[in-house]
Amino acid sequence: MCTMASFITPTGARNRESAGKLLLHLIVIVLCVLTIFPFFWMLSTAFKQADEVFTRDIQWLPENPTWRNFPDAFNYFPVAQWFWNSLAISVLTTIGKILISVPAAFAFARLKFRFDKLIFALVLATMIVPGVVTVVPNYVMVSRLGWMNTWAGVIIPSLPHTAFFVFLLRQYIRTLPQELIDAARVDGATTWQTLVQIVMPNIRPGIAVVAILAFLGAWNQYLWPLLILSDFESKTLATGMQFFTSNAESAQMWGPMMATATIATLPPLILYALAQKQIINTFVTSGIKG
Amino acid sequence: MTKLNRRTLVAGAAAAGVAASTIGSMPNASARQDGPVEISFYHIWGTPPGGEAAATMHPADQVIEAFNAQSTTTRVTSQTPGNYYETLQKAQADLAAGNPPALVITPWSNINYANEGLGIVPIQDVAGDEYDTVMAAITPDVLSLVDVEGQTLGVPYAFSCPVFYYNADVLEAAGVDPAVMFKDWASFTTEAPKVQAALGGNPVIALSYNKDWPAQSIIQSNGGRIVDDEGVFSVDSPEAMEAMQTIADLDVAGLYDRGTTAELRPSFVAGSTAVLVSSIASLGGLSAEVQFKLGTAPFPQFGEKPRSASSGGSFIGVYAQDDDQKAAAWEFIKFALSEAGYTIWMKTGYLNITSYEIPVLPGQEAAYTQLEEGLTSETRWPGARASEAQATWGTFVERIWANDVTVEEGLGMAIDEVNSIIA
Amino acid sequence: MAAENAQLHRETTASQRGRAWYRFREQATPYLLTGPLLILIGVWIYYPLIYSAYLSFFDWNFVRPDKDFVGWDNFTRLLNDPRFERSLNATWIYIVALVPIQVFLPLGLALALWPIRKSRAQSTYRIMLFSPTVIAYSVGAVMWLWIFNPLQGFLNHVLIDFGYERVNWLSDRDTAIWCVIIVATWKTIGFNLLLYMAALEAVPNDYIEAASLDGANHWQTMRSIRFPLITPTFFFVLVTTIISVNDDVFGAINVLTDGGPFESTTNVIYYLYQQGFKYFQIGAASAVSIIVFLATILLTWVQFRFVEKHVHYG
Repeated sequence: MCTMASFITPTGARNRESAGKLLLHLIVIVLCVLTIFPFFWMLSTAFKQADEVFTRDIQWLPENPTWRNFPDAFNYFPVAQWFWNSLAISVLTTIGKILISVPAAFAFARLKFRFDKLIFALVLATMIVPGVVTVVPNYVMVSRLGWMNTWAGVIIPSLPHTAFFVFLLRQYIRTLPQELIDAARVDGATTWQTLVQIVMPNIRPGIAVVAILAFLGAWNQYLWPLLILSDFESKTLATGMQFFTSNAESAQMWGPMMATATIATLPPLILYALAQKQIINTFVTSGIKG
Repeated sequence: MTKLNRRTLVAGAAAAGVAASTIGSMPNASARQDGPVEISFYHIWGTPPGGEAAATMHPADQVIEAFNAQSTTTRVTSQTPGNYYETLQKAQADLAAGNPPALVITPWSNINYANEGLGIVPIQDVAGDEYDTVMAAITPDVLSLVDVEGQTLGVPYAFSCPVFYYNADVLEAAGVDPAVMFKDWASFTTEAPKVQAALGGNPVIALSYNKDWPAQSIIQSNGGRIVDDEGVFSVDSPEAMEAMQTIADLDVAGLYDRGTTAELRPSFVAGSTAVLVSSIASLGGLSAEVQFKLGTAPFPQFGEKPRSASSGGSFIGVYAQDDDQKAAAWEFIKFALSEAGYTIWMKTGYLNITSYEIPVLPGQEAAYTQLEEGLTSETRWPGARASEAQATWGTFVERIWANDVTVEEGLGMAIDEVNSIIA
Repeated sequence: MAAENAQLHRETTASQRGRAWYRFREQATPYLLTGPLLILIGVWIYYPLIYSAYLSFFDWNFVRPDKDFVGWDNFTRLLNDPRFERSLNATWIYIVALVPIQVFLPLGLALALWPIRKSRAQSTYRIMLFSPTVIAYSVGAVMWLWIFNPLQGFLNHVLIDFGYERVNWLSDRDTAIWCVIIVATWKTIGFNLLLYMAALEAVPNDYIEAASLDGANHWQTMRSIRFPLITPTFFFVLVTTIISVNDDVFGAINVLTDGGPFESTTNVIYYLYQQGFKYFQIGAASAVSIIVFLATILLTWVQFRFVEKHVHYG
C-alpha cells in the first residue's frame, strides 16, 4: 500500500507534501517554544544569585550558577512539609475519587435499576455547577466540622467533583464485550464479583488515566486549599509558594521561590510524560462525545 | 485628628517607663502548676528579613522565642498565615470554629471592624490592675490611636509610616541633590525629569502598597482630609483635589510608575526606577536587597504647609476568650513591651513608640522626622464593610493617579461608592 | 425416605432463602455502588447550593453568632453595586474572548499535529504543549510576571528593541485582561488539545482508506470525514469551556493582577472571592453564587437546545 502510493504519486506532489509537513513542524515548534518559554525562566532563576533576578537588562542565564536557592528554600520555609502535604493530599484525593467513581461508573454502564437515569443525570449535572458556587457554604461547613487545616478538609469536599471521570469510565466499561460480563454471570458471580474480578482488570488503562488526571488536578488545586489550609505548616506547595515574596517588608526571595517551583513542577511533569500515550488511548477508547 | 510626636511621646511616657521596663521579669502570680498555657500569636512576619540576615529568624519570632525561654507558665506559638488580609481571614475562620487565637496582629485601619465584627477584647479586660504600669511604656498619643470609646483595643506595636526611599547612585548620576528634590512637590516636579533622563526615560517614582496609604499622607500634607472629624468621607476638598492632581501631573509627564503593587518593588530594586514610597518597616529588607546606595527622605511638602504623614502598621489584638488564655496573652504582652522584648523588636525597622532609649537605625531618620512633626492615625474605616471601603477608595486613588479618570470625576465617584459601602 | 425428603426440603428452603438473599443483594448492589458518590455529591454539592441560597438572605460575617435576616437586600445591593456590574462586564469579556480561543486554538493545533503524528518528535511536542497544564497556577503565573514586567520584563525589551513604546501590560486596563487571557490559554489549552487528538485518532481508519481510494486528498478527507466525526467532541469542549472559563482564570487573576487595574480584570468569580474571603460578606458572596449558578443553568440550557438542533451524533 505504502509503496503503491509512493509509486503512483508524482514527485512534485510528494515534495509539496513534505514541504507542508515541514511547515507544520515549524508552526508546532514555534508554539512549543512559546509554551515552554516561561519554564526556561523558572529554571534559570532557580540557579541565579539574588542580585541577578531583577536586572535592568535581561539576564538570560545565571552568571555564577548557584545551588544555594534549593537549600535556602528548605531552610526559610517548611518546603519539605509542603511537599509532603501536596503529595499526601493528591494521592488520597486520587484514591478516593477512584474508589467512588469506578463502582458508580460500572453501575451506570452495565446495570439496570430504578432511577438509574435520574441518578446518572444528577451526577452529570454536577459538571455544570461552577466550583466557586459551593465555596462559601463548604467553607462554613468545613469550619463547623473542625476540619480547618486538615487534609480531610481539603480532600473530602473535592471528592464529589468527579463526574467527568465517572463519565469517562462508564464509556470505557461500555466498550467491554458483553460476552465477558455474561460469562461471569453464567459462572454465578455476583455483581460485585463481576466488577472486581472481570471489569476492573479489563479497564485498568482507564483507571490509570483517571488516576493521573485526578492526581494532576489535586496537585494543582489552588483556591480551596488556600482557604482551608491557613496554618503555615499545613500549606501545599501551590499555596505556600507566595510566601517567598509576600512580605513587602522583607527581601523578596525569587531565587528560592523558583527553586521551589522547579521542585513542585517535576513530579506532575514526569508523571504526565510517562503516561501521555495512555491518556490519549483511553480518550480514544471511551470516545468522549458530550 | 490625633497628632503625636516624639517629644510628647518621650515626655509622656518617661515617668512610668522605668517601672514598665522591669515588668517583663516580674513573676506571674496567676501561674498554674499543670504545665504552661499554650497560646497562639498570628502575625504577618513569616518571611525572614532576607539577604545576609536571612539566616536569622524574623524579630517577631525572636521576641516569641525570648519570651518562651523565660516563661514557665506560658508558651506562645507563632502562626503566620500570610499578609494582613490572610491573617485576619484565618483569625476569622478560627473564631468562627470556636477556636479563637489569643493574639492577632491587626492593622490600624481595621480597628472598628475588629471591635464590631470580631469581638476583640479590650486590653483593660486582660490587664486588670497592671494596665497603667505596663501600658505607660507607650506614649499616650500613640495609645490614643487604639482607643475606641475609652477602651484600649490593642497594644500598639508595629508602628510605621511611609517614607521616600531613593536610589542615591542614580540621583548622583543625574546631578540631583536629594535635599532639593524632596524638599517640596514643586522642586520634586522640576528635579524628577533629570532623574528620568538618567534612567533612560523610565518613570521615576513608585508609590507602593495599597494606594490609599500614601494618598492619605499626600492629601493631609496639603491640608486635606480623608475622613473628617464627623466621620464623613471627605476627599473632595480643594486641598485634596490639588494634592491628587500633583501626582496625576507626574503621570502625565511619564514620571509616575503605573506598575502593579507586585511590580513596583522589583523595578526599584533593579534600578529601573529611582524613588519608592513605602513603609519604613521595609528598610531592612530593601537594604539587604538593593545593589546601590539607598537613601531615605520624608515626604515632600506642599509649599510651606506642614507635613502631615499618616502612621501605619498594626497593633496586637487580644481575641482570647477563656481566662487562662487571656492571662497568658497578657503575660506575653508584658514581655513584648518590656525593654528586653521591645529592643529585640526594634531590629525590624518599625518606629520606637516607647520611652526606651533605643538607637535609631541608619535610614530611619526620615521616619523620625515625620514622627516628630506629628503623624496622624491611619484612616479608621467604619462599619462592617471597612476593608471593602478602604479597597474601593484605594482603587480610585489608583485610577486618578494613572489618569484613568480626572481628579474631580474620580473623587466624586469615590465619594459615591465609598459612602454606599460605609452607609 | 422420609428423612431424605426432609433433607431435601431443608435444602430447598435454604436455597430459596439463599436465592431471596441473593436477589435482594443483587437489587441493592447498584445503590451500594453508586451510594458513596451520591452521598458525597449530595453533601458537598447539592446541599451547599441550598445552603448558599439560604445564606444569601442574611447579613453575616461568619464570626458573629447571629445572622441578621435581610430579605432580598443582598441581591438589591449587588444590582446597585457598580463594582458588581463591572465584574459582570469582565466576565463577558472572558467568555467572548477565551471561549473561541480555547475551543479553536487546540483544534487547529490538533489538526496541525495530525499529519505529522508519525514523526518521532510528536511525543516531545505533546509533552511540551501539555506541560503548562500539569503545573500549579501559582507557579505558572509567577513566571509570566517576569515576562510582563514593564521595566525589566522580556516583552517590553523585545518591543523596545523593535522601536516600539513601552507597555504597562498588567496595569493598563486595555492590556491587563488580555494578559490574564493569554496566561489562562497557556495554562489550559493542553487538556482540550488532548481531547481533540483523541477524537481524531478515534475515527475508524476504514473510512479514511475508503476515501483515499476514491482519490480524495488529505484536506478533502479531513473536511468530509474527520470534521463531522469530531463535532461531538467539539461541542463537548464548547459546553465545558463556557462553564469553566471564568473559574479557569481565577488563578491568573489572583497572581497577575489581583483583580486590577481598576477592577478591570475582576470577574464575577473573583468578586465573589473578595466579598466572601477578603471583606467577609458571607451573605453577599452567597447571593453572587446563586446568581452565577442560575446564569450557568440558563447558559447550559441554551447550549443544549442549540446542540440538539445542530449536532448529529455519529
